[in-house]
Amino acid sequence: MPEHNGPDMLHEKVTFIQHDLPGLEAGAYQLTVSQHVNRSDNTPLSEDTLSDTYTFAVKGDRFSLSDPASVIYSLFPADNASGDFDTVLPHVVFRKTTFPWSRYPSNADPVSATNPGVDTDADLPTWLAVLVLDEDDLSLFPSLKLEAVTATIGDLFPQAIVKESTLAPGNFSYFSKAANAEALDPGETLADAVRVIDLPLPLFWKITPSLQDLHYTAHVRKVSLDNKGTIQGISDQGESVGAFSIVFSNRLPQDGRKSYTFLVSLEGLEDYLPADDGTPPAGYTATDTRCIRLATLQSWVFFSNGQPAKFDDSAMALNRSGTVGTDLCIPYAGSNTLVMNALKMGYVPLNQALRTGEQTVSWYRGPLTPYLVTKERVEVPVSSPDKATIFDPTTGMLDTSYAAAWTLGRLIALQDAGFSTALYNWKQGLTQQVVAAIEDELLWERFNMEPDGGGRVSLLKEIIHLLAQQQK
Amino acid sequence: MRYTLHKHTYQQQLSQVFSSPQAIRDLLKEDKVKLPDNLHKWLGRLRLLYGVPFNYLVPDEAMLPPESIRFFYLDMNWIDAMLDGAYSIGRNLTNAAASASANQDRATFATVKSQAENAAAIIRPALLGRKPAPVQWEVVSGFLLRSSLVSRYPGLGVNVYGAGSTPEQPLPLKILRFEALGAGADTMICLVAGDAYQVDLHEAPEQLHYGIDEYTVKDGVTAAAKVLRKFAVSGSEVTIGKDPVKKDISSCFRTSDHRTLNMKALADIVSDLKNNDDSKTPGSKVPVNASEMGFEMTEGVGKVSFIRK
Repeated sequence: MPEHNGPDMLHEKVTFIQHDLPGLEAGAYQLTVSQHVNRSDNTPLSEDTLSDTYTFAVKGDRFSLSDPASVIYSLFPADNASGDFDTVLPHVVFRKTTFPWSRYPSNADPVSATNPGVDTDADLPTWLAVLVLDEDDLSLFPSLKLEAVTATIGDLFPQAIVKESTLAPGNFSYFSKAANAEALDPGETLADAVRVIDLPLPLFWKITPSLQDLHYTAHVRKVSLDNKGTIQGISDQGESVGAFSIVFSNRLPQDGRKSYTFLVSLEGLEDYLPADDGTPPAGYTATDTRCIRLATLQSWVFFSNGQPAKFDDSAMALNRSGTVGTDLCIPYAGSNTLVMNALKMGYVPLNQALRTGEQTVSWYRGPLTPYLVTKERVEVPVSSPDKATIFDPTTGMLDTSYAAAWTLGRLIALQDAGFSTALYNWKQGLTQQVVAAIEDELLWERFNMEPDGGGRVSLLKEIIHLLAQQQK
Repeated sequence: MRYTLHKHTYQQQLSQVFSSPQAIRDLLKEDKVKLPDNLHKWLGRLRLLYGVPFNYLVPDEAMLPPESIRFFYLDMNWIDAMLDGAYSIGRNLTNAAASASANQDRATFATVKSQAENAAAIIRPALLGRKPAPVQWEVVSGFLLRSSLVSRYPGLGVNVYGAGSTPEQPLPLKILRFEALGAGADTMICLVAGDAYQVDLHEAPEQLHYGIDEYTVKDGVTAAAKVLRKFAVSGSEVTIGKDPVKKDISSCFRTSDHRTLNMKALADIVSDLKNNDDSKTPGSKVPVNASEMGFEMTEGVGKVSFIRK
């Protein structure tokens, strides 16, 4: 499949890829293995063939996300964000590159089903769409509800198949053309909870991408992870390049309105999708009063209010809150120079309960200081926290920073029994090595014995140990 | 010949050695003081403050108000004290600072610490599959970022430069640790080797959005434009033209809904710019695919620099 190394953004390469097909699409599979055994002259050993059949299923999110955090990387605009969003297309970034092509919106699989896993250069439509609605749609379609409501997979079937279905007669959904209730994927049941939104068909046609559009509303991006923070499952995998997929909306948000955004499945809905210009498909008219029920995999809201809200706008707004400095310390407006100096050095006054039962106020400073501390102030090993407590003669207060650091290190170590036990054993081993070295020296000095002098030496050492213990 | 060894001599020898860190060091050769893998890795993480509660790092909220970025240095005394605290397991904690176990720790701490630092230096390279490079531990600095950016842009990138860095001669500093402090947190910590002077935050390319440049609707008529660039595709490499071309995309909106784009029509306009050719006769379109649409429709990356002051 063609990969396009896009413009040099940030002096780093971003690769745009049109799609990424899963090795196997979600669904049930049957694997048949058979074995014929031939003689060396190629005649069959027996008429029988050994064969066995296995069935397995590839599970994939379909009408809901079982674990949204493991699928969705980010939403744009962010949930509950407000800002100047009326010239941008909302989107969803996915952690998995294959997710937008793990199913398909068309009636037939656009990739030859006989060769699963084979790549294709052909443009492929995504089964996902990001629909943007707002209150203006509500005024045109009063029956519309701007929220996804809880339902079950059974509610996606017509009542002719699933009697309890809440899908009103005449309305459409994924299983409107199903012959029975067996169209479910392995592991799915009719009672599984999903969230759905019912869209009046004329609205659906106005705002939903056409099958053609769906070829252009998703792609894959490969980016360098070198400058990113460590994100579980993404930049901690021993790879310096990460790949993401992205699905865009095709509708601009309305200025001055709250936008209700839905990530919906369009799986197999080809027959209901509008034409490229938003006109109804053949056989329907724009005055249709029926609805189509869509499964909502994610929904969020944002507000478009004309205020700059791009990344750089938010970043520029950092450090605007009054203070001038960029150092990590408490700003001080008072006139006490002692306090001012201490705060400038990153200290914080904290209540301390002394060992003797008294209460006092002491200085504390964490490991992150506003200036480079070059003076060595702690002598290791520290024998007790008190030893690492420093008296500050200028303020008459105690500096507990290093005592706290020492105690914390000890607590963190004790908390991890695996670490503390292993460390203890290792240190014991060191002590034994020192003792052994002393013994070797003594044996050499007194008995002229080489340390690796064999059985006699170890016997002597045993005796020495026994004698030493007796003494105690 | 007769040799003798008194218990007394033996014990004296033991206590003599264990009362002197130097004597212990003389007997314990450097190569014997080698922590097992899991121990030096554990201490290496502690060296980079993994597992240190946030209120030990920032004891007062006023130090790091909402929507702020703050620079810091790592206090080596604090780190030493904390590492020694962890290393003190099994130490005989008496006020007599010179207990045998304390002396053994004194004799070995420097070696243990340098092993912890070697382990710390490879943490981030290992996460990213990069080859580790030596780290100078004398000066470690960094910044804390507390902002809604942290949750909104999980992939935001950072470049940290040392003092005296210029765009012509940048002095990038090696990142030792960079991550959000907890899932869904609004605070990130970044530690770098060296003296951080400038921090560039930039938007993650994987999160860049599609946008258009002009959009108005007047009397039911949509007027919209998008600045596009000519491009040429050769194999898997794309060359983007320097001069932007402003294209009228008013016709790419559906008549039934002024805000909904006809992506197919937009793709046709983008295809006009393929092969650096802006003059194709209508109807002789070169098809474009989703990836080509991708880099044409994507809006540029935001980058903001902060200087320590």
